Amino acid sequence: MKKKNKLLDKINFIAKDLKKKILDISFKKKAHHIGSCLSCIDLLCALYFGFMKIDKKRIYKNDKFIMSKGHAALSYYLVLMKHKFFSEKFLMNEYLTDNGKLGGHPDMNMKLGIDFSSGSLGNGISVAAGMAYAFKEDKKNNKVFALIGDGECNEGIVWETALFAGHHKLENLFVIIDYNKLQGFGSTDKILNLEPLKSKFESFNWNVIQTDGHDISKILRSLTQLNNKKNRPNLLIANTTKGKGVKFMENKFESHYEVLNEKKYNLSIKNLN
Amino acid sequence: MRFVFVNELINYSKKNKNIYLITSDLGYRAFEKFAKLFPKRFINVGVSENNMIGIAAGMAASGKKIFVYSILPFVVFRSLEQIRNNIVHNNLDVNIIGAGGGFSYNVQGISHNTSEDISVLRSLPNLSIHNPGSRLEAEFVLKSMFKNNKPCFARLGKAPEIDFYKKKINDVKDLIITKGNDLTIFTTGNILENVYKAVKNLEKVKGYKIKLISLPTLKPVNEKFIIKSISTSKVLSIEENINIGGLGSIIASSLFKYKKNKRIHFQSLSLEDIIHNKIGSQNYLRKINKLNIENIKKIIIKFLREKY
Repeated sequence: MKKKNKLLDKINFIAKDLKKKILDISFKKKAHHIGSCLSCIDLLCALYFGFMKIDKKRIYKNDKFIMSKGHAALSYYLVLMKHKFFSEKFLMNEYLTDNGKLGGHPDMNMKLGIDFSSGSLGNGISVAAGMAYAFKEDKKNNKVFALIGDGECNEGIVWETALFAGHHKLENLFVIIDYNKLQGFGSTDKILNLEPLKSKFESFNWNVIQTDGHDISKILRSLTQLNNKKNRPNLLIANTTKGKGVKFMENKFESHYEVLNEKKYNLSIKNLN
Repeated sequence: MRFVFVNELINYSKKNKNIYLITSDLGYRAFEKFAKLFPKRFINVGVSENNMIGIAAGMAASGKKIFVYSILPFVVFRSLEQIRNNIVHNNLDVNIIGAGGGFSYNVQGISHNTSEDISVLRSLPNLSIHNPGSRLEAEFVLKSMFKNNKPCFARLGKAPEIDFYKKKINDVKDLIITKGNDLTIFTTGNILENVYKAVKNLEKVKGYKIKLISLPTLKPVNEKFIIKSISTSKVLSIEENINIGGLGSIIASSLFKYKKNKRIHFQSLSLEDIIHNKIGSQNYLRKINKLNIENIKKIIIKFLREKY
């Protein structure tokens, strides 16, 4: 129990640190998508520091991860940085800069820990299912994770893959939906209602758990529960808040586009603390 | 030509356990033998071309050699962005087999026939493009697809009844089908059958000596071979593809690099930049687009009579 708490404390500490970095770096780099990054950073920290197998020295043994909602690239780069795939200096030099390696959407680069490219919505879940299928064929234990957005679930390919993964019983596939209920132009229920989301996926023969996507302990417990169920692909519907932690951004779809000025930056840091 | 493809695929799959064939529910009466021999390496993803490309990309990223198969426009146009982002951009070993191409699907209409696939795909960097015109050409290009570990596309139409080659093709030089010093013709894909028949007929009836060269690989372009092959002052290209970005463009841009001290007169016979939605047999559609044997002959005669 103590050990578990220690791990939770560690992940929570990292998540808090990275949230501040999201604001810092977005402000310095005049980056968009801050709300999206804050929405999924807790999920990424839980995955990368509490659940996935990542060993830089033995990459072939690693679990795979696809950041399908590529617009939240900064939060993804930050967990890779924390995993020492590269330094913070490297991140600052390469992110959103001319001839940089870290663009607004991630590009596949094994050395940097980026398992696949993304940017166009809907593709990540399908590619992840392909990876999971190959691992299953080779009788390897590697798991494949894909973080997708709720707006992304409008894409037809998500449901093509949902059918495919259910049919082929890809139990090594873990899809996490960052369910902040806001998409490009407003709220998901007004634009293209996904509900009942859980039973939709269940009817496609997936294991589904819905939980609080900002509670690291609950995220980890849900992932473990999914992992214990066999014969089906796994879906974690993570209830999240866009712009989580910064009051004036929370649940505002504008936080998808807004770039921070100095006043708002200072306010956001104060908010976070 | 899909039977050539399946047979070659079976041969290579016996040696290479990493080869997988993925189809979006097409290939009835073609893939049964493969599926029986390699049940685990045959995946029918269902009628879902987008997911097919995603699955192919994920599997190739995990070390598999993938062949995806569908009717040409379904896999190419419906999944173009995925081919671009997931496969070509990441340099994955995915080989796209498009069945049909040109007017191969005859009366089935514009959803099944294509006039622009080669032009569109040629604009993607890092994608090899093959368009064989006979069984032996298909074997030749497939050999390179099995050997390379890079993204490839092949347009596989119906094979002509006869083959134009006397022996297996081992080298590009073998692609020079007839020799002659009146005119050089470059062609690509299964329109080769009509071009070959026109050339042979003109030789017999009019005594024209025409050099006929088939180019089953349109990317990477072998400019050196093209330039070296030109031995006449008149050059004609013939293709069942739109006049933008296809074989005509390849020959035209190769000619810019033609340095021999000689003037070249070049003409291109291709599909016009219009919506090709007319209904009819392959012969009918070729005829109204000037690609039947009689029209090809007329164009050759007119070109040869022109004085410069």
